[in-house]
Amino acid sequence: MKKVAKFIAYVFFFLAMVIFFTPKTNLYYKAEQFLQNYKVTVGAESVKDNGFSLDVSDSVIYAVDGIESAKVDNISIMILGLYNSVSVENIVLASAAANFVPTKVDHLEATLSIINPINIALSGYGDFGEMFGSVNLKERHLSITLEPSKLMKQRFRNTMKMLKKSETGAYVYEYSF
Amino acid sequence: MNIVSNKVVMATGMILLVLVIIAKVIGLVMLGFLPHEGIDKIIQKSVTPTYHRYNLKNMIVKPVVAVVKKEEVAAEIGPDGKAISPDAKVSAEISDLILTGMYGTSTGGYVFIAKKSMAKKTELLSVGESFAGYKLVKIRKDAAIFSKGGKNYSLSLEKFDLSKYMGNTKNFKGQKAGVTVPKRPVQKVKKASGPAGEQVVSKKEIKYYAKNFKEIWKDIAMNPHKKNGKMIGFKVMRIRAGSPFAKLGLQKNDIITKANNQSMTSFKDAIKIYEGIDKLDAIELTLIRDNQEKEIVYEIR
Repeated sequence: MKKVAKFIAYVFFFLAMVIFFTPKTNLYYKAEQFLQNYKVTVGAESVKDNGFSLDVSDSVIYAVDGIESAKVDNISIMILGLYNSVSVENIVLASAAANFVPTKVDHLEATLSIINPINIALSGYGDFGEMFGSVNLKERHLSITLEPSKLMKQRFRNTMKMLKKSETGAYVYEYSF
Repeated sequence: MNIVSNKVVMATGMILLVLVIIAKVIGLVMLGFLPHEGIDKIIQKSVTPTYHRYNLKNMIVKPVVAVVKKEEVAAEIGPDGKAISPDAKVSAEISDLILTGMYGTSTGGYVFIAKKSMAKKTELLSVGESFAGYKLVKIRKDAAIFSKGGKNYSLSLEKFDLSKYMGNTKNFKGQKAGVTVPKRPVQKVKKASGPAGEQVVSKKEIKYYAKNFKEIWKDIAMNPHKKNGKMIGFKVMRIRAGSPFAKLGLQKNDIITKANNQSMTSFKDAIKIYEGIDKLDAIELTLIRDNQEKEIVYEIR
């Protein structure tokens, strides 16, 4: 038993070291290349490897045809294997989006952990209100529940019409891919 | 007992060290396969105005129609039959060209020229360059001298009535009869409260110069400045005291090498800047003064 515990401890130590020595900045560049396939570019950012996490600061996200879509203060990526998360702080969407949604998003987070390995948990809050949801990797299905703010209800009624109202009064957006 | 525990610690330490080394090797192997540079969006931030074909509506107080001098003077062709010197007398008419503007010094200069059949398609021609078979050899005060086939030709600007283009304007002091130009705006160059070296220029003033090309040369005279036979910029030869150029901080003998990061190594470079000057929000001049490079930033408001 003692030997098994020792072995597990070594495995964890080894995984931790692999994560520590993984060139996360370069891995991020690879992710950028992947996003480029979808014509999404993350530019003007500074990338910092913190050992067990990666911080991407002051980035500008360009969508199709190089249109500036959003400015992001900080993206924190943590990939520990058993617990992985991407946390995004202070997003300001481009003015073109101002007709559809409030442009200020304070926080967005996506988490995948060993406790629920099939679903990526989503959460966020900002001028639009609060949202939480999940991405089911097996069924390839996205579900977001929105608790809209007053601003969202009053000024973005057209966007609200695209959401389904649930029995609890929350608004739900679903999408399969 | 101590020996046993030391052995255990040593063994554990060795295993951990080996695991660290393996993890590091894995990291290095991954590094070999991953990209070393990210993808960035390159945004053109150059404030150099886009080049357009020359439009004299924004230049030299509206279109000027020129005619070839009527007087024909016998050509002086040397005994060897070669082309006459630029200073020689002109000999023939150029019936198919229009001279729309010119700027010249004793050493060089340029003209704006077009074919009569395509009057709007104006070309910029420096001394030494050719257009429609005519080589520009010299610029005089009132005419441009071309050579072709060993003969010299003169092409001068004709007097014209600007009032029909410029509307209700006052005569400029010393202006030839019938020629009117818009009134010079009140000159305003303010010291900026911004970063060091940044000054504020009146947009009105810039627009005035943009529309009245000739007026620039009343306030400032510049010559191409060469180093090792290569033009590196424009040297300020004369500057009128109290003129906007003087107020901007330009001084006699300054050599302007760059404007908005665009090298000023030819007249064309200068014209490129000039052409879009009324659309700029700022101008950054790099100049050499007393053998030291200096940068001045002007904000246009």
